Amino acid sequence: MRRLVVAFILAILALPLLATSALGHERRDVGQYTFVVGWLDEPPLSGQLNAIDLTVTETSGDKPVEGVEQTLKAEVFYGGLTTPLAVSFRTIENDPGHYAADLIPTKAGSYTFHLFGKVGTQNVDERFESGPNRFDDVDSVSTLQYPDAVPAGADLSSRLATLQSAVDQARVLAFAAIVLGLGALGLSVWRRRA
Amino acid sequence: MAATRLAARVALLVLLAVMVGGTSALAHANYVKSVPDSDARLQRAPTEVRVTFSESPEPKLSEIDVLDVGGKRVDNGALTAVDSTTLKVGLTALGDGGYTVAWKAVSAVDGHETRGSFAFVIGSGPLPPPPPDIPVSPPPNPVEIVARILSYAGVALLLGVPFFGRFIARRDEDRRGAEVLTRIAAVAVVAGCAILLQQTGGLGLVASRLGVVITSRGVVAAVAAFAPWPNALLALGALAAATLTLQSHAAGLDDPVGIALDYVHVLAVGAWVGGLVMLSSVALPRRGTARPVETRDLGALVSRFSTLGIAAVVVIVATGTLQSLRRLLDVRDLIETPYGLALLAKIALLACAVGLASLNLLRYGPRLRANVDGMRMKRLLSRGVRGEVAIVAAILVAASILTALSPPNYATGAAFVGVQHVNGLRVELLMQSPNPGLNKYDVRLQDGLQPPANVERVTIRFTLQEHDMGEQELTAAAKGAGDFVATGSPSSMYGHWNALVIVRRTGLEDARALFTVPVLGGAGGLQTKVVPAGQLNLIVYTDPPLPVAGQPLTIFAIVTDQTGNPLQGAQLRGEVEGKSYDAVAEQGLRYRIDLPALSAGDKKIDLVVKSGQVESRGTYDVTIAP
Repeated sequence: MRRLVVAFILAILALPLLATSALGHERRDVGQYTFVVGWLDEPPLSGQLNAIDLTVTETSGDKPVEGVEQTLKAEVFYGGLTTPLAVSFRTIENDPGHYAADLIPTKAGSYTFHLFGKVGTQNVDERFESGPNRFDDVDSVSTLQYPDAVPAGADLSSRLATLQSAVDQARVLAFAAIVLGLGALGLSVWRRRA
Repeated sequence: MAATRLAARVALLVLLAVMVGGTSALAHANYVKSVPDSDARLQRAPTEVRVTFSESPEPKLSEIDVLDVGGKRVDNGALTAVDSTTLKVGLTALGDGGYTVAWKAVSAVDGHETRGSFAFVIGSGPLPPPPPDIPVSPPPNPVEIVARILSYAGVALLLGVPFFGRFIARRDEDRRGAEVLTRIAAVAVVAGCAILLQQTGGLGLVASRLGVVITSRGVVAAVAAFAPWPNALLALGALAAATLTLQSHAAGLDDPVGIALDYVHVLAVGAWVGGLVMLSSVALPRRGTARPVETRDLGALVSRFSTLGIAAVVVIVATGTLQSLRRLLDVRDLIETPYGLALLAKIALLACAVGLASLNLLRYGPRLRANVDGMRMKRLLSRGVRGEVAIVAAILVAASILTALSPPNYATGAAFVGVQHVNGLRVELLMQSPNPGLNKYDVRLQDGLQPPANVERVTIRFTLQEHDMGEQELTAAAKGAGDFVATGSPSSMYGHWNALVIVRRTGLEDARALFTVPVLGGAGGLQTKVVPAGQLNLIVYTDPPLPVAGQPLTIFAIVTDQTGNPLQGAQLRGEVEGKSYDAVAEQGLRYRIDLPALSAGDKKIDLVVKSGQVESRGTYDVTIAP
């Protein structure tokens, strides 16, 4: 019986540890606050509505921090692109200290969340990037599609651009062929007359 | 006037020979590994530095300078060869701090010079930055290029002129001109050899392999100047050609197929170039007057030579292309690397030469033989020869560029080399060792013909295909333009690993190149072994990969059960020289045993695994270098 009680107490003590190492989220202490950042829906898939998932607690005591949605802003960067998407946090009902900022990641790959502004009186300027032991990269939606993989809008756009380039090249070649053909025809007629 | 014309034609066709040399001789002694390793962090000072190269370096001409952060040399200057590819230099007593090893290796095969540097740290200080003033693989200097031109052209003539006399001309009246050409060729070879010897190390080099080869070529050429015509001269020409092959890239790599291809290539070029010189400078001016007999004779000669020329050019193209393809990692290297572009241009120009030779064979030769419009055909033939000369000049440009460039697939000593093309980038990944554990990954990037300028970061992510072992990430440090190196132990088990190289460029989407790298063991320098211990197996490797006396040694082990799956929760300890050291579990799957510095020699480390109540024991043999 005593062993059972000890095991129960240990399990209860371990719960906060499990919570702080949430799967697919990065935990980082920023001054007197602890940020846990990741995707709201996992695995994140391209073209699907998702959100930055943010939990802010006080580092000492794990007390949820409220009102962050009014003072903290976020930008989303894809890869090395320098033009970000600005997003705003909203609270999550009945879950104090928990916030989400909606976005639709349209391409698979690495995303960086730039959080800046204030939490309480403390300035915040932190970048969280997806990757191993942090939070997941966005995966292609085709990995879960069955039986046929439907190309995402971004993929279609890329393929259309490639096709357009090929069409332009074919047009130039066709024009050159027509000019050559007319030239050869003219030469042949001229020789025959000569 | 005739002598001037002869000299001019010889000079023009000498240029043609450069093309031959350019393809055959490009040996480089590249850095493969070192002790201490590049970027190594040592707890105790080493007593020497060893550097291993991809080809034999000439110790008399090579250098290894070990410098402290103030630029002061801390080696004793006594450079010696450990074996055919490894050089070592002794060190003075070193204190804690960063040190730079600047090395220069002169290939014992052809005297080509390569340079580079790496750093190591004793203690916990930072690595010194790479020295900015050390060039890597400088191109041959102009004097050396001239020497090579003389050698290649001379050898081509020594071979091709008697070949023409023996099999094409069949008339004694050409012999006098041939003898003049032979002596010019001999003088060119001797002069070229003398300049090469002087450029690469002076008379002190004569006793070396490189010196022996160069000197032998000069002696053969000198003898050939007075050799009986044509058979003995032909044999000496073939011998001189062999000395060129002994200086080739293939000879440097001890590659028998490459050596054979190179020799056939050199022989074919000699037959073609020498024959062309004979045709244009000796045979053509003598034949083809208005007399029908001479015109027919010229036609027959042109037909015979054109047949030979086409065969020779086909052989040159085939052997040259085969050799070159062995030096390309990917067909797209032909359009993505300076070496490939120069090669492509050369191949295209050679194809044009074949076209002109075909005209000689199929149009001018038969008409001259039939004495149809003889004078006009001779004029057209002369025009064709001038066209070939123009092509040869263009080939010279391509070949000159080619000689100054390293081929993409040069010897690196890497266990894995792969190339991917993503988002307009050429991404090349080299993995140093085929074994699990500590490894070095080199990512080389190219955007068009240049390294990309806006790279923020290069990371490599590793996942094992056979088991789910999570994802490990390494960030590579910039080592040079477009060159990023990462060191770590992300691939800790045997199997096939996915290595995803992610290149972050400012303002652009990430370029993500996926490689499958086999970590299957084999010769790679690491002393990774599978150690049986009862029913279990231990995959064991060390850090540093090549243990050296005086350096602390870390043993890493992965315990696998009978099914080959990693075993968790076991206890492991190592026993060596009467002492026992407990292992620390890392990442749940790998065990680490920290050992103190051991003395040099072969050591037996007993590894004791306790799984449940069962204790198993295995022995790991490791060699500690002095």
